[in-house]
Amino acid sequence: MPGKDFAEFLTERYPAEGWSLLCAESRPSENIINDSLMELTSRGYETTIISDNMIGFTLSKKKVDLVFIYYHWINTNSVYCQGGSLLTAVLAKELGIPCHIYPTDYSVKTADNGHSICFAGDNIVPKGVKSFVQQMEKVPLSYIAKRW
Amino acid sequence: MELPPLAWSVYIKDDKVFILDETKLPEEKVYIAVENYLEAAKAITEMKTRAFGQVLTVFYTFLLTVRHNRGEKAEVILPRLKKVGGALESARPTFAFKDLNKKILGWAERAREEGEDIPSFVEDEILAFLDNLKKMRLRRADYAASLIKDGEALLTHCNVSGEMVLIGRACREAGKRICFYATETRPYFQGRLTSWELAEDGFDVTLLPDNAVGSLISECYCQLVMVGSDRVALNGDVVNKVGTFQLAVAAKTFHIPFYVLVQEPGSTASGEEIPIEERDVRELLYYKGRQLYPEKVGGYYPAFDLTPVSYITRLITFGGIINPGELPQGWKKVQGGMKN
Repeated sequence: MPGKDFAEFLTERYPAEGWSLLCAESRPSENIINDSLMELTSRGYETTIISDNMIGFTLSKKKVDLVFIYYHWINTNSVYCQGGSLLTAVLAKELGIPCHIYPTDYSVKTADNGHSICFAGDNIVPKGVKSFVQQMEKVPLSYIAKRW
Repeated sequence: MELPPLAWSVYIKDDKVFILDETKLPEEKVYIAVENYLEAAKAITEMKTRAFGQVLTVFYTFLLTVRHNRGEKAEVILPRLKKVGGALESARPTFAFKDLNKKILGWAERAREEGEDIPSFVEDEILAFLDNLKKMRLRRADYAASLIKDGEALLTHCNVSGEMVLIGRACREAGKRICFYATETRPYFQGRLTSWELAEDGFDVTLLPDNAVGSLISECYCQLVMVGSDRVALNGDVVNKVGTFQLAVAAKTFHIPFYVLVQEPGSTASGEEIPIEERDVRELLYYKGRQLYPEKVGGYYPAFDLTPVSYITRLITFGGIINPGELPQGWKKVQGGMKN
């Protein structure tokens, strides 16, 4: 989930005339990206949603030149990002696509492991099944090509 | 032994084929009554049934057709069977419907050549094939279980039509305690089916978002990944539900084995030759009729992806376990067990 200033940054560095955007749903908080999507489309970006399980295929088909994930804090070895960032960074590295990090001021909720994961307001976890959610992930800096 | 519902999700009764509507599970267990091949093809296109359910739907639809055409001569029934095959083949592009049709039409041709009654001959062949298929899936589950150690946790993706339950049961019978992690598998959430059927059978199972597998594997919550496949090529490349490839990459990166349950490879030399179905993006952008994302935002929905053989630790076939390094001779080694 990008922060408030990301659209401004993108417009300046990677303008809509030369770039289109693929956005992963970012489960389990798929709706939180809507504000960003509206901001980006209003700036003229052609914006396409994929679900999180399509990231690998999309990268493997050379549909992406550059990956951005968003970090909350950083230390000498790692960055701390929203859940899903580690997999995205691993895939980018494996497929030879540079993965950049950009700071975010988005406030991540605490993890809600237990017996629920929601989609569009519905708990999708069947009875008797547990849930696993990582709201924050540590991504080794070795996966990162550039820090903004 | 009673099979879990998704392990045999189609049956025939009173001249109708009944297909378990997987889109209604786990909330409702509803069967769609199908009276002809066009309705069967529609159920496949709309993903009311998928994976092994598609295989069953094909065989039962042909069974329905031959029963509707009892006593018909070759010049009548052969074109009808070809028409059925054509409709099923065009229902979805990635799955190997062509190979199944070829098998069934081959039986019909053989009956004609040998002067047999085509409908009766094909009916007998289909019933014998399905009986053997049931045994082969149970056997493959045993092979898969042999790869899992006591105390291990297995991560899977999508839904392997009841086979994870069979694998869990085989482990349980061998005295091994295992647990499961299932990815939710957007946009249809087939991981819900997997977690539901495993929980129903008494297994410890956890559902997770598709993007959580990086943490899950890197933090050693699971010790192996095991998935099904819709197609496998002769070189060992596998095509399965989209999201499979990224599990394979994560497994390789964090050094855990990646196993794939496969069927007969057919004649496709490489996974690159297999078409990847792109489905209507509304299936991604809408949920229960509600639009999820802003109006101007587009979508992209490849239904499958290709996992190259280099990411695969072992292929689990109906005839045994293959080390991808042994291909193509490996297929020959297990061919006896895979013959139907």
